[in-house]
Amino acid sequence: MSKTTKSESFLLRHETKTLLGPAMIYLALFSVFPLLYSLGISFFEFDRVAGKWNFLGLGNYKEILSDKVFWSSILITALMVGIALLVEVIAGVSLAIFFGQKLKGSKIVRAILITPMILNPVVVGLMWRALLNPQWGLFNWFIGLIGVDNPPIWLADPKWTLWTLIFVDVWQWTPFIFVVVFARYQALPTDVFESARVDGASPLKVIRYITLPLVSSAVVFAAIFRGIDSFRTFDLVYGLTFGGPGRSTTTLSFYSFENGFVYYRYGFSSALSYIMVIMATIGFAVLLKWIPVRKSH
Amino acid sequence: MKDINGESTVDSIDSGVNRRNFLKVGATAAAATAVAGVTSVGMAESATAASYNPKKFAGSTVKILLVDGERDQNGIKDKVADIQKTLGIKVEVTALALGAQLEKIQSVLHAPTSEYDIIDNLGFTVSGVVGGGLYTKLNTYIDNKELTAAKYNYPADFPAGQLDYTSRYDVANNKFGGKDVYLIPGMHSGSVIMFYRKDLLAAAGIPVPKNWEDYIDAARKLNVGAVSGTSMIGGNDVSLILVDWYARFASMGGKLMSGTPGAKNYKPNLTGATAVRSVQHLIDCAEVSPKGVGSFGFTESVDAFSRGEVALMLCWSTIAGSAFNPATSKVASKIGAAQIPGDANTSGRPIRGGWGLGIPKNLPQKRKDAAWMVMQYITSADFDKYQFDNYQTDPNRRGTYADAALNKKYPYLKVAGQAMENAKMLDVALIPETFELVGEAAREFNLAIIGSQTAKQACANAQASWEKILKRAGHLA
Repeated sequence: MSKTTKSESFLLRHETKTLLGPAMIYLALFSVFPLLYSLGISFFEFDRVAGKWNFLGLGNYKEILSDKVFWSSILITALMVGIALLVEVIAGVSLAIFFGQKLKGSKIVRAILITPMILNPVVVGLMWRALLNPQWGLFNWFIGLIGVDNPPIWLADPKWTLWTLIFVDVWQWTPFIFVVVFARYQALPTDVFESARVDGASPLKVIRYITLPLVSSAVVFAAIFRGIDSFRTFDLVYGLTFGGPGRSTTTLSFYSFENGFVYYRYGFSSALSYIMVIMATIGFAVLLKWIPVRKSH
Repeated sequence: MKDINGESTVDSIDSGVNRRNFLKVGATAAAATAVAGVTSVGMAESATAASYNPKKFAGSTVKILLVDGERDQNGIKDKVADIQKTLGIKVEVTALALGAQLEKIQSVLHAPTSEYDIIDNLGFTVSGVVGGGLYTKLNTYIDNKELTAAKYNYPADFPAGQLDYTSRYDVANNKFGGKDVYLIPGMHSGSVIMFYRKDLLAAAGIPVPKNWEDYIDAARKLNVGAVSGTSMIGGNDVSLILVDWYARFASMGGKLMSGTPGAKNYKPNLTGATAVRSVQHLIDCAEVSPKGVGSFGFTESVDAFSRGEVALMLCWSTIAGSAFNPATSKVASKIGAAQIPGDANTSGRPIRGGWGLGIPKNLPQKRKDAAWMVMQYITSADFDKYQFDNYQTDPNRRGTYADAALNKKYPYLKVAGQAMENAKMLDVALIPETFELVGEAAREFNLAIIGSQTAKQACANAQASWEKILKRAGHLA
């Protein structure tokens, strides 16, 4: 048996290991190890002056659970995810159906529409900070044209900041839902719609009983993807409000960032991130169980 | 109290310096610099003294980490070619936004070998990084005539208060000051001064405010039409505390902390009458500030002032100095600068700002040596003048503050120099939790400024947050 045959035989005998090996090594190095490492440091506190780690056991977790800011951050994150996602899904699906009508000039409008999605969220935050500037921002000038003389101070009034954050998030991410749902909509068989029209179904009934069920898998996929992303929103908050005023826009991710990278409380920040991972896993597992993704098929 | 070099240590920094003393000290330093024959930015010309050889580490590359957004890197970038010519060393500059720079410093100082050879450190972080023993002691370099140019003039040409803040540190006892040098003041120093519109004050017949009552009265009178009486850093920003609140609180005679961290009785005094009064003053000022002041950082405040929309403002002199530059300000010729107001029995006491350049401990000796050569260049008297003249960042040297030509060109320079000599170090800067404490207070006082809570509530909430943090960190039992 030649050398080549021997090595071929080895590869065949260890086919699974050979094929999965590189991916497993990659995952172990860049995913599993950092996860385990950060889990480890969630039980410690770093003493910057002494330059050493002090073991706290479950101290960081206990502190988090008795921390008022943590609970307010959960509420803010939940409001942000819930409201923004709902609006994005409704607007994204509506836009997908609208642009599915192949109207004149829709290709250009579509291209413009998806632009926000490709911008960096920190840049979006800074851009909207400028647009919402109470003295020279274009946004207030524009709403002044339509009769709003004394607009709120969007980024300095706690009554408005969370809504402003949600508005900017919707502005940036509705195109994502639109793109995913639109792609699915374009791939639907046309004969079903033709049959419905022949049977005399109204446009609204077509949407209600044919279009929506057929695109639901894409909607659920986009919503879950977007929901996870929204749950860990940090960069938009960083660029737009920096968690304020007060704690009015401090999301869980931002609170974790603030503790880890502003106050250097690495252990506390890691513990907070782990609590977020647990919450996200449970939340989306429950969501997937209850949403009938495959029924439409 | 004097240290080994005969310089005042922390105990005497807060005693204040009057104008005459300041000018005398500045003039002496300027004369000393002139005698030393400083005529150009390059150090090669004076290399004849002793056996100093500026090209001893030629062929090296030195990487510098600075903060972005404060114009610090501009002068170095201009002089990269001259540094190469003078020292034979290639210089690479990285400037990051403050938050990112602080994160980067933490990671490189704890790495096996630092990525950067020279790092600029914000004064408020010195106790954490220098106190943590992460920087190279520079005394051996300064004392070595082969490695330090005779005209370098350290420490004589540097303000004593700045030396005991962003230069000398007692690592063993975790205290500012002492005789061990770990940083050289740079890329800029600075404190807080008051900027005002000369034309508006003159037209209204109002003198420059000397105390906080006069300040708010003037702001109310000048709050007419498109001009707001005052402006401030009113947003959820650490500079709200460092600039606007602390200037009021310290000048009103407030004492921020009692006890010491070591004795575990380090307690804030944020619920006292002075603290509440100082926050109330911010709230009163917000009423005659530009719309949206509750979200202002120093950029927004300086921009509004430079557009001619604000009559009075406190700010870091290193940041708002650009208001005197006609290229960036509509009112450059109409503004004046003065010390911040005081109270009936106290003079204005602004906070001490500034940065210090250090060489990380986790570097091979050769890289440290080359870094020291570059550090001398970028903290030299000539470079200090060049950087100020071109970019108006606050100088680090007394000689620059006292320079006649620069004072003629930038009338606020003398005021900024006096403020820096007279500035007070933030009490909590001696513990690593400084930023966390300041951040919590900024959040609460910002809510007071935007009307979400009263001054008293804000102070009580800040007190509670501070006590919680101090207890967790072991500074308060």
